[in-house]
Amino acid sequence: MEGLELKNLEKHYSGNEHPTIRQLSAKFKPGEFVVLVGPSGCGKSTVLRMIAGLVPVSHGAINLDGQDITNVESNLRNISMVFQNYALFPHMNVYENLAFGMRIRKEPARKIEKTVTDAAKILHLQDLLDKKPGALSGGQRQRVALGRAFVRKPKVILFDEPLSNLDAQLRIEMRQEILKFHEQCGAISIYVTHDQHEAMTMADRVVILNQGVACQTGTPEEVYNNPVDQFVAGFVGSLPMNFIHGRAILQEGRSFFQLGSYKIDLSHICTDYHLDCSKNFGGLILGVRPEDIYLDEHYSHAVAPSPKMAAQVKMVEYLGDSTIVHLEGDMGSFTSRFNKDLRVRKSEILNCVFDLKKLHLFTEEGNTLPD
Amino acid sequence: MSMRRLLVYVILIAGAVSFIYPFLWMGSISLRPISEFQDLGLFSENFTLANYQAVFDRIPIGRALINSCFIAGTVTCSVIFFSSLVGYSLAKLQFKGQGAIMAIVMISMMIPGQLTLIPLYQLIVYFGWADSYLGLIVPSLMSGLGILIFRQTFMTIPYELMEAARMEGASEFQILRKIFWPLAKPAIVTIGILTFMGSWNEVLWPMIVVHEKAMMTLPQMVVLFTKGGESGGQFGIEMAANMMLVLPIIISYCFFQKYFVEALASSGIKG
Repeated sequence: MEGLELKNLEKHYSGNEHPTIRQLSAKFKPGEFVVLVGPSGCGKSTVLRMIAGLVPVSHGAINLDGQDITNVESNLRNISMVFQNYALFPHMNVYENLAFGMRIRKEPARKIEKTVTDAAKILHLQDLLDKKPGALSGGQRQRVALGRAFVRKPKVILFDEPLSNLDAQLRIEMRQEILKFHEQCGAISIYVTHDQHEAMTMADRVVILNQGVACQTGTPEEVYNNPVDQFVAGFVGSLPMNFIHGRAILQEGRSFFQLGSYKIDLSHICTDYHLDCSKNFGGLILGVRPEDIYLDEHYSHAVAPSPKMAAQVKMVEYLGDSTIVHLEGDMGSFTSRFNKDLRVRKSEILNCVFDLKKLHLFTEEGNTLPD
Repeated sequence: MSMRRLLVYVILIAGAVSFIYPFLWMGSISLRPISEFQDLGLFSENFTLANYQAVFDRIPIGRALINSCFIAGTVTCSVIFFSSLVGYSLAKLQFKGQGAIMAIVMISMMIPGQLTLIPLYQLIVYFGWADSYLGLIVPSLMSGLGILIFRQTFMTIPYELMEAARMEGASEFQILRKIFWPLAKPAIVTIGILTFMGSWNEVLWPMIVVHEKAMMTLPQMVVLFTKGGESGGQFGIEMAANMMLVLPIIISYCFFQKYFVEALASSGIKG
């Protein structure tokens, strides 16, 4: 198979009771930009380091273009890595940093010069070649780190949270630079981050990791719209999904989600098993994204509104492009994202509706309902 | 300037002068004729190099200087090289027995050198290295203090630099040579100066293993010259020999002083 394949990858660290990575399988196509995302400590950097050959694999295999590279030395894998703190050699100038690998591999001086000059041109580093990393800004260092990966012409480039040391504005700029760089390189890019926003905006595909397990793999749209479990649903999205714990009931041959006196008809989301879901799942968790909550008088025709519910405003966060409102009602506490023009005050009572077509249902264990 | 500050300056200057004056006087007396050796002043109208000439005439001090330079230079290079190898493996590699090796290094620093003189001498005789460079050099090829300073310095260098180099194909020795050594310049200079000074000033060990004049080191020769009677009790000549002993150390210290202070400050080790 062309590309990179991880087969049932496992990593056990001695002294740890549970494996850090469990049965991880994934395929990466040439030219693809895949983001491994998950909370801190979920094992995403370990996966990256196993692919790089910096950490030995406990079980499973890594194949690159059909060849098993599981036990191949890291320098023979044709894989480059951009480290979190850039790992630029502080005593060498930019030129020497870019040329380091080629000098180690004893490549001809003329080839080194040409490759470094070309890389410097692409990454706009021509004027910085004589400078040492200490004299560069964060963004410039980042570009040098990209350049060092680029000159190797690798089949796979690994990014280990490369933007985490930059300020918010520079992060946005560098995201674009990295994507441009990825297109120029044409390699498989595997990018690790704990920032789901970064993952959603950059990735062709996202792999969501939790406690060493790949929970879901898919395009950003897929993982956002069809999360496989409550963890993914809660992790993906710039504001976490609201979860409301209630129970399923059956009335007149239709199933409803009920919390106290409030009922939501579930026919929009589980038409395939109206009756069964009520029988099998006494307790249910209803998931609704903040952007799928509307004020009673403000929703459009495209929205399938739930029955109204009154909720009191607890806190308002004005973000400029939208307004985040934290509410509390009979359904408990939840957060909604409203239009930027909305002006509400603390303690005000709002009538809200959910878009029934966008609701998510989970079992009490946090899994999606079976088809 | 307040009186209090003035007083502080006077005390500090007096302290500094009390330290530096004997040394300056030694330099001065080494350049003056024998008739002025009771003059405690620093200046004279009769400065001469005759005392230095006399030292060269009476003992093979040139040879001793070469011996000392060779031995101290070799020991210094060796300590830097081997101690950095051990320091690197203790700081950055993981292997069984690492803790035990570190403990042995620490213990070796706690044992006074005098305690090991006799067994060491027996070993040297057993190997047939008495009266040879090997006898003077081999026992000092590595230093516990050097290992400790290198280990502490290398521990501050991020792992990512090693990993980046490893992914480019650098061997462990290339990583040490191309990345760790350049980044550990202050530590190298510190260990270099400490080792060079220690080796240069060593008298006891050469006295034990070397008896041939041609193999003697400079301090050994100077001690024998001044205390053994060859100087004929002439103060100026003795001072000239002493000056020849200390000058290389002072010159090298002045040259590397910046790194030396930097490394001692960062490693938290007091001289």
